[in-house]
Amino acid sequence: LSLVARLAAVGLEIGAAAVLGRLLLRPLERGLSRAERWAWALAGGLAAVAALDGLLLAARVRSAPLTLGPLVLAAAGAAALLCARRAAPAKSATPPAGSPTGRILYVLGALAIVLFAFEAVAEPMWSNDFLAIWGFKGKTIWAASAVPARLFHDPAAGWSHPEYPLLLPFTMASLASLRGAWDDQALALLFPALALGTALAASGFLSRLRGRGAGAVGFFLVATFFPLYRPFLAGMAEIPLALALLLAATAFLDLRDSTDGPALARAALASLLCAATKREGAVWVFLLASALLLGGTRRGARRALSALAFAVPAAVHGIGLRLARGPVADRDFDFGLLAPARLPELLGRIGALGDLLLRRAVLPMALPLSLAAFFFLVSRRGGTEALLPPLGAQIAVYAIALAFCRFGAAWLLEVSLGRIVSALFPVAALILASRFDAAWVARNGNGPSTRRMETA
Amino acid sequence: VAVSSRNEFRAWLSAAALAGLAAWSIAAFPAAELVPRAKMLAFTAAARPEQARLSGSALAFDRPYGEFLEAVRRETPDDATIALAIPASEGSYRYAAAYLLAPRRTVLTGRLAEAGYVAGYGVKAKLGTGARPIVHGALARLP
Repeated sequence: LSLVARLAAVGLEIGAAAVLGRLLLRPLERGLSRAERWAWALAGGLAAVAALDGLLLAARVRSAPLTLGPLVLAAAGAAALLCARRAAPAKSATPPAGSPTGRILYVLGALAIVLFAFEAVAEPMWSNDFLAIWGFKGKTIWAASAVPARLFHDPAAGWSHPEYPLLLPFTMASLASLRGAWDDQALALLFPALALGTALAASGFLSRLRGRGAGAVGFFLVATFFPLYRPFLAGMAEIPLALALLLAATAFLDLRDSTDGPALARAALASLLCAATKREGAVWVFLLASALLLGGTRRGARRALSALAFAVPAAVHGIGLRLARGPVADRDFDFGLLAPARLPELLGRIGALGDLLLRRAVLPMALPLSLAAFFFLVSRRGGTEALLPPLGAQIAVYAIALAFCRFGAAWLLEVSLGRIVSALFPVAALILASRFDAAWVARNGNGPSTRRMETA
Repeated sequence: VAVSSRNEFRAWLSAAALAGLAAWSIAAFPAAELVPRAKMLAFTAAARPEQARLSGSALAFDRPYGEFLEAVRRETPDDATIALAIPASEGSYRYAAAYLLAPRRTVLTGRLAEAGYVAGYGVKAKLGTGARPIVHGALARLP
């Protein structure tokens, strides 16, 4: 097959997964804009196909086009039948038509994603982390049609991070199974598709919260964030994680207003996606749960329910993974430093972080950090500021984690801090775009206010 | 009027700061890579997937090594454990081997007892050792 045909096949698979996601997630869609519905559908549909692939492997059935394909079709058919029995779904919260400037921002954002796609699929995925971790596990699962125990317990492959969760390897393996071929060049299309999903999630939520203008700004900011959307990161977990973190953030903001069933279910799904993609995702949902518990506007049982919607799925995933694979060694982090006898050593390491972070992380980022600080001074409250404490706490966790690194904080900072922080940018973009919109609305004398779109 | 003009000023300042942030983000786009990647895309579009892999960035550190691994892959079954005599100190050699040979298990020669095959990169097969020459190296089945 030519590359164009192979890319079209993977594109069709991703599209089919999104359609499956729309069918499966219909009960969760109430109140969402159309763009958000597709973003949730993409993330949920890909995870559903990966879960069906896992079911086949658990049943010791070889995962292939003729086994996984019918299973996906059956799931879609069952979901369609169930949905047909229910009342017609609520109309999507479609904001009024956008301005010419908004349209230009959407076009420029789309162009950025096309450029990323062009660079990502130019060659088979190649970064070291793809070869050593995500691609290695995905290809092994696909080719062995099983999850060999050695993925977790082989001392000769400790560098492959056996402790990492498996959603991304399973997603790639399931797409390969649907086509019957491991094609690490065409599979790279998954990452621009996830970038598009992330930009849609941001624009859809912002359109619903503040209006079409904010949605266009959010789409543009996310889609043109090239520190995240670059070919080196195609094949790694940061791009799917960025989508999961953003979906969790929007679910968190929704839960502050309403604890209805769909909002709780979206929080639970986002929690599962975050925890199953990367360990940073589990940290994020526990921070969101804590923020709901400590700072929510509601009281008592509803606040606890919202927090549990985030915390329980991630905890269940962690426990399930631990039971399924047994204890695994953590190559990078030495949590033995938490032992009372080693606390002085840990405190010394944390103390030494300040200078390192200032020199290697803060000063190189002085320009964007100054611009962001200035922006916060001159912009207005946009209705998303509740995300700031968990966002700050997440970055603080990343910084403190450096002190636990077996190979030295400087090494971990060099190889991973930039990219794991960049996966948080879409969440930050929600805050930036909403505050910008608030300042722009106030310019016309309307005063800062958030507008939620009414749903039918 | 004063409030309105102050709001106007703040709005423009926020627009300028946000535009600055967006410009910083867009400046991270690797524009210099566009032409090389366009050439790479043209090449990989015409090549077989294995050729595309061997010519890609993953094996840019040592192209013959990719050809050696491809030869090992062709000559060994999926369920084999292969001991590799490679420059072990370099992670890139181990990661490329594990990925390209998956689902085969790869170990270094320190774990020879666990392997069914041994493959040496840049090694010549010696007569009488049971090893046979493959591209850029030698491969032997272990008893």
